[in-house]
Amino acid sequence: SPNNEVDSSTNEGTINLSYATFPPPGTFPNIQMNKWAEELELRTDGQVEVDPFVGGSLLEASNMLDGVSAGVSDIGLTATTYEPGRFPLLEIAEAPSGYQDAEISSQVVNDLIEEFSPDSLEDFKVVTSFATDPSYIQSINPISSLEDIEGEQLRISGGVSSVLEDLGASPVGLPQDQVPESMQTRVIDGNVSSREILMDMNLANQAGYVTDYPLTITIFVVVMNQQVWEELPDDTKEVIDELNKEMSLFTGQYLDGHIEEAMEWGEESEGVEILSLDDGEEERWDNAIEGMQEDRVRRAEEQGLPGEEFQERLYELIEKYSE
Amino acid sequence: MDYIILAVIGLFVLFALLFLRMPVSFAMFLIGFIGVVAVVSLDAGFNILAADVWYQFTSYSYSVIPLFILMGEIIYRSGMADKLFEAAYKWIGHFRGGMASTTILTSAGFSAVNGSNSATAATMATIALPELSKYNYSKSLSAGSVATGGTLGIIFPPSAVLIIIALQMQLSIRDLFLAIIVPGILLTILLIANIIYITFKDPTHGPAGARHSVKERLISLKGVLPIAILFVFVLGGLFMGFFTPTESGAFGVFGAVVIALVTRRLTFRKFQIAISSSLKTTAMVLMLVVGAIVFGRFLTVTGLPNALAGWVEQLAFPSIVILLMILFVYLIGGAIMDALGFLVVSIPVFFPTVVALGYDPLWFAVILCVVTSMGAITPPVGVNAFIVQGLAQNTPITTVFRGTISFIIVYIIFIGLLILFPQIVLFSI
Amino acid sequence: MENKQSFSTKERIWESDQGLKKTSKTNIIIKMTDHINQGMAVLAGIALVAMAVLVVLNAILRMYIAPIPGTPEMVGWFAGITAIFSLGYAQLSKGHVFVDLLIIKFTDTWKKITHTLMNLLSMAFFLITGVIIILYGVQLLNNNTLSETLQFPFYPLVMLCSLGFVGLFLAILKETILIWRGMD
Ligand code: NA
Ligand code: NA
Repeated sequence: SPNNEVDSSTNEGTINLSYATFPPPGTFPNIQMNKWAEELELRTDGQVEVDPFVGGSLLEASNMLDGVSAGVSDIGLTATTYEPGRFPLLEIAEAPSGYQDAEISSQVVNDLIEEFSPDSLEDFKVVTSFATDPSYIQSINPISSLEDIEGEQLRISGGVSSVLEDLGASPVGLPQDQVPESMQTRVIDGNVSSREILMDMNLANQAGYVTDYPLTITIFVVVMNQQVWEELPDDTKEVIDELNKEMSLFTGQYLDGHIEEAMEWGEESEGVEILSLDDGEEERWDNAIEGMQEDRVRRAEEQGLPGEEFQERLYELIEKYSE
Repeated sequence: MDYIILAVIGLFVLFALLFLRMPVSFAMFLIGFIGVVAVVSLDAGFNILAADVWYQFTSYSYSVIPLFILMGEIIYRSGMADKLFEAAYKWIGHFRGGMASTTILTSAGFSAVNGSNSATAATMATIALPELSKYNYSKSLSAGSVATGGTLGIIFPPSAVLIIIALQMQLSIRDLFLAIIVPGILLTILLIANIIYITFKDPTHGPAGARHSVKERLISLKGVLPIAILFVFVLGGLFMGFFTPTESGAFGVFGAVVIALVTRRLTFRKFQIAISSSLKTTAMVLMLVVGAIVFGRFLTVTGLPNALAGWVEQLAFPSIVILLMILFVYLIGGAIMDALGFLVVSIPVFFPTVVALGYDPLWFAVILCVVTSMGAITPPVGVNAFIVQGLAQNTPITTVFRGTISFIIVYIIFIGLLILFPQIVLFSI
Repeated sequence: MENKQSFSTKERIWESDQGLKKTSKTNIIIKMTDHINQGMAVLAGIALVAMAVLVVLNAILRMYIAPIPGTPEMVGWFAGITAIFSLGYAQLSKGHVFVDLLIIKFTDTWKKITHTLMNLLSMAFFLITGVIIILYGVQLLNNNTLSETLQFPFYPLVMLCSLGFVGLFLAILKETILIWRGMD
């Protein structure tokens, strides 16, 4: 049931929590959800049950926060990257910052959200948060220099598209599910995202090249309706709090393993080639995208938010978790 | 479990409102909204309603619908179908029942650039009915073949029904368009075979027409050219991967305007009429689609579709029996109400079950499209039959339905073939 | 029975040739309804053509130079205006499909009563829809929601869409008035 009222028709005292996500079944945010549900049920001795609504069947990405706030679902998974303008501080962390993998980015993001509690999450209980491995260019044509990328039409999620403009490419905003077909029809020359989709959406079929240069990350936050949270028994609240960081780490590690598998499969079965930038070229790229994060820090400061402090902490945490 | 009872009550109230003449889309919106309010909360109902109205109506994926509708309207209003009819007649008109077969063949050809069955039926009624009566065809065969020909409008791509099915089931529009071409050709052949059989048994139903020379036949193909070019350009572009579905719809509009202007068949007035008619169809179709989504949200929160799928999976019946039961529901649904309306109401209810039974979604989509097409000629509510009755002089509706019966049987045989030999659909993907 | 039924079906296919039905006794609500819906239909028609032009232009430009940024987003907005602004216009000619299988068996008075009841229900619902769409727009404004690609604050477009439901409301109101004038 979509509300948490004690359901009298089943076991006495069982709490049902509805949980809405927008990515399709089998993708890592849903694996995270299943794991969380399993742990929660286990650690509350079956007191709490989770009703999943995946793939946008109840709430879609664009309406996730508002929907949870309105009580359509008790819990919802949102990607802050898909809601530009709403999370000015988190946008700083989305920009390329030198994350080595999802395990690091997830933990960093989780700490930042806890320490800086973004305004837009004020009316929610944050259940957990995690992030993707940096996105990489996955393209039809080989791209290993700024000259190669010039004018290439690459799909990227809208909130971070400026990074492609900085590199001289031409960003295309398209829903994720239209990527394979659009690539097949050459509506786009490539895709910029976390690399597990090479396997999950069989993109390796089209994209023969991956440029080994980490770009932006996508941040996911799982929120619970505040009122639902307040009405939960204390022991359940404790379990949910204790799961927050565990899930962030679990998801980061899972995704890293899954990406490794996807890359191996892509290279071996589909002949995907990984292109590295030579030293001089890498420096040119670094210079080209340098401004992205600075712009975001400045924008946050203009809105009266502690952008500089956030950025400083971001790098401290990256260093901490990279050890 | 109590929520499932709410879902069942919701379905009952929905049908009650439908039969009290509330438009199908309005009723789905209303019950979907009230249902979410009842199961979740008032705030939730407001959020679902507002967000779905905005994000679904403005979804890029659905933009393909108005574009294909406009393309078909322009072709229809500029009257290019009569040339198609002339050519088809010169090739097969001299056979027994040839004029009726010509009607079916022309409908199939016209469908290649038109995505609506009512437009196809109306077009064919205007062109073919006078000719059929001139050659003393029986009223039932005339009306039956025109109404049935119209159903091909949504079988061959482009097709509004296929687009809606693809979007609701999250299938690729292009795959679905490709998958139905061979079955569509087979259906066309079966429908023509039926005409040959009828006129073989009783020649008075449809006497043969005049024979035309090879030269005449070849010349007649010139009239087919514009439509053939448009088809190759629009759907070829889609199939070859030059265009996305939305782009192929937009280029279709563009191509239709160019061809209609070049052949001097399009005036500004006709263009205006095409637009205004497209707006009405677009509003109607998208209201149905979004209404079905809102209604689907209500069913989702009650858990009915998954419970139904789970329950059916446990049944001791073989899956084929369940499939046939579902198809029977469609047959009844398509008979008593507008087939498109029934389609959008039912997809959220039955689709999880069919997938759980292990049937190929693409194959099921093709079957659904065929069943929906047939609904337009089954009594008592058959849109195409009414169009033909409205345009035919002195033909009672009972005569039209008498004419469609044999074609309905052909349709049922055809559906049986698709079930027995799913390769007919699946080999092309 | 088939007569009434075929009339309504036939009408919804053919009305497009005849333009909107003019009523002899013009009442202010009816006049206003027609004008508002026709005005919105003109905007919807422009949006439809604009959408086709934009898609074609974008496809050509992407083949030779670069795509127009945010095309899918803009196309979606045009498509939304096309459909939502035509809702009332379609209703004026009974464009929204309905089932009159059962109702044709009713006596005239019962027919009028049920038809009116259904219309009142629909009107109440679409009025609510119009209001909550405006409130949703306010919410989007308060949350600083921007579109994903163009980062455009689209809440005014959302609010504008409530007009489509006002048009639909009026069209159903007109239909209800005509029922009792014996013109429907
Ligand atoms: Na067609
Ligand atoms: Na029917």
